[in-house]
Parts: sequence; structure tokens; C-alpha cells
Amino acid sequence: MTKKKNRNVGIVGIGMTEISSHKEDQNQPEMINEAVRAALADAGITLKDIDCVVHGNMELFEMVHQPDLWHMIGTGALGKPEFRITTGGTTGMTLIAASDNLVASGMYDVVMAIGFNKLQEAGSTTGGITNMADPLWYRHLQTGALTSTSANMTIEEFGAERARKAAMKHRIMMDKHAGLNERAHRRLGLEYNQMEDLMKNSPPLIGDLRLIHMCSQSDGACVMILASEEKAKKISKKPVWIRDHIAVHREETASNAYFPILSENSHRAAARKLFARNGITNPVEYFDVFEMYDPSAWWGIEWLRDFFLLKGDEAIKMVENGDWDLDGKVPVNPSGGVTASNPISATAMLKPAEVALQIRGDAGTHQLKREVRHGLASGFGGVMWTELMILEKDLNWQGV
Amino acid sequence: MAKNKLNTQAEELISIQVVNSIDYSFPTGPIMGKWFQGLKEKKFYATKCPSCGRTMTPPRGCCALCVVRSEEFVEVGPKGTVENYDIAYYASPDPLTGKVRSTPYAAVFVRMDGSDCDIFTHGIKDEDIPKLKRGVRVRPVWNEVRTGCIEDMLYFEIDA
Amino acid sequence: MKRVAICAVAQHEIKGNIWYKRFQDMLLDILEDLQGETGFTFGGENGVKNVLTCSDDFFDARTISDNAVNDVVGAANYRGEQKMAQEGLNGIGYAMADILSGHDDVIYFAGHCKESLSASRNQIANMAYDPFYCRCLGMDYLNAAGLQARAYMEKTKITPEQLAQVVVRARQWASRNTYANEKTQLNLGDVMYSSVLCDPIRSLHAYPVSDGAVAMLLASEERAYEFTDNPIWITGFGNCMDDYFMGRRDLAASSALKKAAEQAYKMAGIKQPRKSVNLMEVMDCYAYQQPMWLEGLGLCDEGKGGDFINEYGPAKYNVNLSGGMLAGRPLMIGGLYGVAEAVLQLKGQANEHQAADVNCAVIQSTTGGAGQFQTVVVLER
Repeated sequence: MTKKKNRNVGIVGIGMTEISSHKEDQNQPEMINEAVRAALADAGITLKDIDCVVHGNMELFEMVHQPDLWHMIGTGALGKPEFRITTGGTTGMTLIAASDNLVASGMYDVVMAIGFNKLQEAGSTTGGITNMADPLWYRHLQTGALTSTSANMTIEEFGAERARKAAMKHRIMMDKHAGLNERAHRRLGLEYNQMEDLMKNSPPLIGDLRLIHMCSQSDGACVMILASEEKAKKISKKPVWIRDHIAVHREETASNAYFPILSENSHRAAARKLFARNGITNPVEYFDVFEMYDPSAWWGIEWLRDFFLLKGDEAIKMVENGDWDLDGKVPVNPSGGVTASNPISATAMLKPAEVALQIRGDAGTHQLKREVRHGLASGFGGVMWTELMILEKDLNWQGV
Repeated sequence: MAKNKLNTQAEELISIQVVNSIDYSFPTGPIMGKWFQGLKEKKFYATKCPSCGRTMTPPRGCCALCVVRSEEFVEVGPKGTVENYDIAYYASPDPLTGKVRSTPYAAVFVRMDGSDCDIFTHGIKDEDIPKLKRGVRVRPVWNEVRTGCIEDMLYFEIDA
Repeated sequence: MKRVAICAVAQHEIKGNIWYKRFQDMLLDILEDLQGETGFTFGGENGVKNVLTCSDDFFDARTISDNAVNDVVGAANYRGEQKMAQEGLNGIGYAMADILSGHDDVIYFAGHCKESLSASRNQIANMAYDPFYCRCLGMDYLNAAGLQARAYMEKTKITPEQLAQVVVRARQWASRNTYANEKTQLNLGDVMYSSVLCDPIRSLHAYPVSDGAVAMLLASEERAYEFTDNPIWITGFGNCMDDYFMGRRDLAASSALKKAAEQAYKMAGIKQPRKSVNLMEVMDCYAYQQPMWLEGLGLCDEGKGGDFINEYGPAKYNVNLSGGMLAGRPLMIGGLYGVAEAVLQLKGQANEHQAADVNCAVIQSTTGGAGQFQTVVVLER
């Protein structure tokens, strides 16, 4: 069932900026340039080795039209082929999926993908997201990506106490992971004994969604360099292979996304199709790490069930048992996840970047203790869109 | 981290505050045009998919599930059932007007009567917010002056 | 190398202000046209699974502008979609890569742009400049073109009459093209004495405000014949970024275009474009750009754009038989309309503006100030 890929593609360079809500010391191209230099240094190559640049963000957050034109000062695209491909929140991983296609096609050997947002520059990220709604009827109602519809459904299914505890446990676990990651934006130092206090006292945003549950507003850039198998083996001692990826989109209206009219959400559909065509029957057993785009703790606990094709309360039980923790069955978000760091159009690239660092064993202070061979990374965007990607340490899955 | 190598004093860094304003006009097209005309007459028009039969309000000219043109109009509602809701305590600016609303306010996700596979969203009357739960019945409250726009309907209220 | 085909194209007629339709309505119209012609469907074992779109957040005034069109491009029911957030011709290169990579074998590609939504497309172009310096100076694509026009006219000594000829000819061809926007016929004097827009660019030297949408179906060589008897092959693609700061560029020479053309010709195996290419679609937003881009594409000697016009070069190479950008095409999909025209020409379906014996067509597009970013595609029958 595995798709026949024209040629294999490996990740050979990863660079990211510090992620922060304060980057007044850099303008947009300067911030991008920091990540570009870091990725080139990581790969041990120079701009001359780059055949093509891929650039993406959401323009209305920085209010720059076709920003790659100005940003070429920092991207290094001068005199080179370039693509600009975006899909909203999933943009960061779309850029990696697109770069994978560009390299696998044989048209380019070495491609550098750049994802970034400098959310500070727009002032209000929630206002910026609300701009996605239809100006004729929904823009006056939407409150960005803030919603408690997921919390409402989870509470109805599992009872308020169990649901609220699970969401808060997930959130504190994410903060503990972020505490180990020096690049994470928010490292709050939360402890599990604060659960009851936070469940009561964190300021409510929307219904049961409280400030502590929600992702941050961050500035940052992430850059990844992908190369053909032949080049990747020359450039890097430990290239990480992109095995497969899938994009799943849903209809425009947020109404139908926030109350699911169909039985399957985009995450479950993506996981079901991607695992089936790669012969993965037990994802909990197969994957050594999962970097999930979890914009809020409520969505986090809901979506774990979907991504791992679990039923009933299996995923929540795993939250309660600590099975998603760093030493659990499947470590989720050793980076600290999106509630810790969210420079939106870089966010979905930080997911495969983190997985690749874990596979290489180069995650530093937050390196997992176990050997990481098989990694999964997800992106979330649009109204309820998914981008899902499998990364591998070894080139041994062909013919599965 | 590669910090500014010029060793610039923080006081010398500046941010330029700019309000970017471009005027736009958004056509309704015939489908949304019909819908707004309906609101003026206190009616909820929906389009019906000729393939799967679902009705959509506000009407879409194409059923996203079947990818077929859907231009037959039917009426749905005016009452419906709340399937989900958001009670907002954090007021974000309305990007159309820049206005910030007083909180709390709420949006309800309503399955309109006669519309089985589509959800319509609007606000709910402030006094009804404490009574919100999934499954409550709601009815629209209309603006006295209706001009054919989304404000023709003020909000839903609980249909006691 | 395996080949990738464009099976069929569908164009929405271009108008200055399609106020009676939303862009969703326009996209549905051309989707139906294309499905009618090719019989392709979405979903199932053989249906389209991935969609490519082209639109722009600023022109549509929407964050994630592709979100607004997922329903009408067939992506919304659990299918994939990616947006080319740059001029649509680049999507031809990306769709080609997607198919060659083995990830997809059929791609539906639809782009739209309604310049009429905003009060001023120049205000949008102004937002393409950095907020500290060039934006404050009031830079936009029009006055960047004004600077380039002056540099090019000084270098080539091209005359106002010659530039007027380019516009008059564009309108003549536009009158034969069902989809073209501005078909009002002009004489040389109309153009030469039209009001000054941005010296030396006069109002009739500039492309009119335009709304439109284009769709096409692309497929692998193995599957192309399921949808058409005469697929058109994408044999060359190239694009290139030039410097943002105009002061660091030779404005009268299009170095990025030369590099983009070099890549595309190399991929297509074209050594002498003047011998191989029968039809050109260039993105001439302003009259001076038609000869200038043809220089960059190697069809015309460097600095000889004026002579090229005198010697009927545009007729010889079948340049812009659609009317081109000068007859009105929306900015973000100017090159995609060029592809649509070239595909019709290569298939022999261009009706009243059909050229004879077209085997190889070159399409060029540009984004940014004074041709900062350039894209070239080669199509063959």
C-alpha cells in the first residue's frame, strides 16, 4: 500500500530561533536569517548548496503582502528558485511536505524550507485569526481559534471532574516538558499539585477553556533543509527520512467543525489513511515519539484519541496513567508542545523538526531516554485541517 | 542565541506603530443575496444538495461533501436545537469594526429545524447565557429594522 | 524523466468588476466546465485526492484565503489542499513536482483573484514593501514599474509609438478572445496621449483592473489519457528571485528572468528558443514589459526591444494572442491565464485567435516590483 516515492528524501539541517513574545531586537528578515544560518550550520553546508527555497507564513499577521519579496534579504533566495506555499496553521508542515515532494520529484536536490510568524507585529492574534471567517456572516461572531466546544463534548462524555482533571494534567505535563526545552517560549514551572487551583482560578477565556489551557502568542522561525537520498548521505551523518505525509481538509464553516456533523474528524481520517497505506496497525506500539499540534489542552486530550485511532476512554486513561509522558508508552511533545510555543506558521514545522532532533539524538536537555526510531508529527490549521507526517531513523520501510 | 551583534542599546530599538487600512467591498453573489433577502423577511433560506439532500444555511452554492452545485432553496427553522456553544469571557476585537464587545457573550451552534447535516451559528441573548446547555431549543429574535444583512437577526433566545 | 500533462483548462471570463458573483461562485462555474470536459471526479480510488489552489490573503481580505474556497474546489471532504501563495504559474512547477514525486497522480488546480474587492490594488502592492523604508516612501508595483520603464526606455531608445503599437495590438487580439477583459479598440494616438499614470507610464500602458478565475487538471503520463485525447506536456519549469532593493539591480536587464528561462529551457532541452518556440504568453502588466521580458526570454536581442517591434517580432513568435495582461488579467493569476491560453493554442482550440502549427509554447509570469520574481514554463504538444 505504500506509495511509490520517486526517490527518498532526508532531513539534513534544522535551525530555529528562540521562541519569544519579545523580538523587538530583530525585524522579520533578521529573525528568519537567524534560523537560516542555524540550519545551514547544522547541515554543515552553505547557501551555495541550496537549490531551492520554500517560504510560508500567514500574511495578515505581519501585514506584509507577498513577504518573500522583502524577506529575500534574510532567506538567501537571491538568484534561486523559490516557492511560497501556505495552508494556515498547517503551513509549517505543508512546507516540509511540499519540500519533500520537490526533492522526491528529482527537480531539486537540496531544498530549504522556511516557516515563521512574528505574531507580535499584528497586535492581536485572535483578531487576525478571526479574519479567516466569511466577512458576510461569521466574522462578527468568531473569536479566533478560541472555543470551548471541545471541552463541552469531552465533559459530556466523561463527566466534568474527570475531563477537567485530564485536560489540566495534560497541560501541566506539557509545561514540565517545556521546562526541559531551553527554546520553549513559556516555561511556567507548573506542578501537579497546582491542578485544583488552576482548574478553579486560571482566568476563563471561553467556557471551560481557561487561559492556562491555551497556546501562546509567539514570534519565531524554523528552517529545515531536505535533500535527496544521495545528497543527504553525503551531507549528514544521520539524515532523518521522511516516510510519508497526508493532508486532510474540511469544509469552510467553523460551525460544522465545532459541532462535528460527521463521525470522523480530519485527524482521525488522516491517521486512518496514513497508517493503512504504510501498514501500521498499532500506532501506540509503533511510534517512539509524537509531536502534536495541540493549540489547547482540551484539543490535546481529544485529539490523542483520534491520532492513535483509540476508542472510548482509552486515550484519557492513558493521560491518567501517564502513558503519554516522556517515559510512557508514547512520549507526546517532548518539546513542550504548542501550549508552550506557538509562532503559528513555524509551529507546524517545529513538530517534524523536534521529531527529527529526537531521532538524531540531538534534542539536548530534553532528549528522550529511549531510542527513537519511528516518529509522528501533526499540524493543525484552517477550520479543522490536518497534516500528518511519519519520520524514520532507518531507510527500511520500503515494501512494507 | 544569536543576539544583536551591534550591541545596540535597548533604548535605540524602535517599533513603528502603523494602522493599515484598505477599503474593501464584498459582493454577496446570488446565493448569499437570496439569504440576506430572506432575513429581511424573517426567513432562513437554505440550499439543498441534490445529491445527499442536506440543507445548508447560510446557503452555499456547492455542497462541500458531494462537490455538486446546490441551488434549490428551501426554508429551514426558524427554531432549532443548540448542539454546542461558546461563552466568551475574553473579548477579541471584531476585525470588521475594531469594536470590542462587553463580556460575557455567547455563540450557539444550532441545528435548525429541517436541517439535519449542517450547523448554523449566531449569538444568544445575554440573559439566556446561564441557561445554555446542549439540546435546548432556541428561536430567533429579529431586528425591527431589517436591511438585508447579518444584523437583521439580533440573536437567538431560549424557546421556553 | 517522466512527464506531467495538463489535460484540460477552464477559464472564467475576465471583467473589471464581477460584482454579481462571489469568487466561490466563479470557481464553481469553472469546476463544472472542467468536469464536463474531462469527466474527472473527487474521491474514490481514481478520483482527485489533492487539490492545489492559488489566491492571496490581501486581495481576498481573508486570513487563510484558501479556506474560503475549499468547498468549491473539492478539497473539503477529507481531501488535501495546498495554496500557492504567489503568482499561479509557480503552481504549475509545484504540481509537476507533486506528481513526479509519486505523491499524487492527478491534481486539480484552481486559482482566483478579484482585484475589484479592494479599493486600490496599489495599496495592496504598497504592503509588499518593508514597513520601515520603502512602504513609507509610497513604493508600489506601479511606481516601481515607472522607474524600470524609464531605465529600459533609456537603454533601448524604444519610442512612445512602439509602446503604443504593443497596446493597440493587444486590444486587437483581445477582441478575438472570449475570455479577455478589455476589448475596446485603440489607435496609436489614444495610447500615446492617454493621461500620465506614473511617468513615463501612461494610463493605457497599464493593465486594467481585473477579476477572474482559472482551473486546470494535471495528471501523470500514465493517467492523462483517461481525461483527454491530446494532453499538453509540461516540459520545462524555472523560477528565480531577484534583489528586493531596486538600487542593487540593473533595472533595464532582467537577470532573474534570464535565470528562470535558463532553468526552464534546460529542462525542456531547448538550446535555441528562437527556433523551438512557436508561441509566447508573457505577463506584460505595462507595455514596456512585453519587449523587455522577451529580451529576458532570449527571443529578442538585448537592448533591441524597439527593433523587435518594428520587425514584427511579436507576430513572428505569436506573442500574447490572448491579448495578454495588457487586455486585463488579475495579478495573482496572470501567468495561469497564460497557461490556459497556451494549452488551448497547443490543442488547436483557440478558435478565432488560433495560431497555425503551435508545438511549443513558453509562458512567463512575474511578481513583485519591477519584475523582482520571475517564472517560466514550457509546454509542448
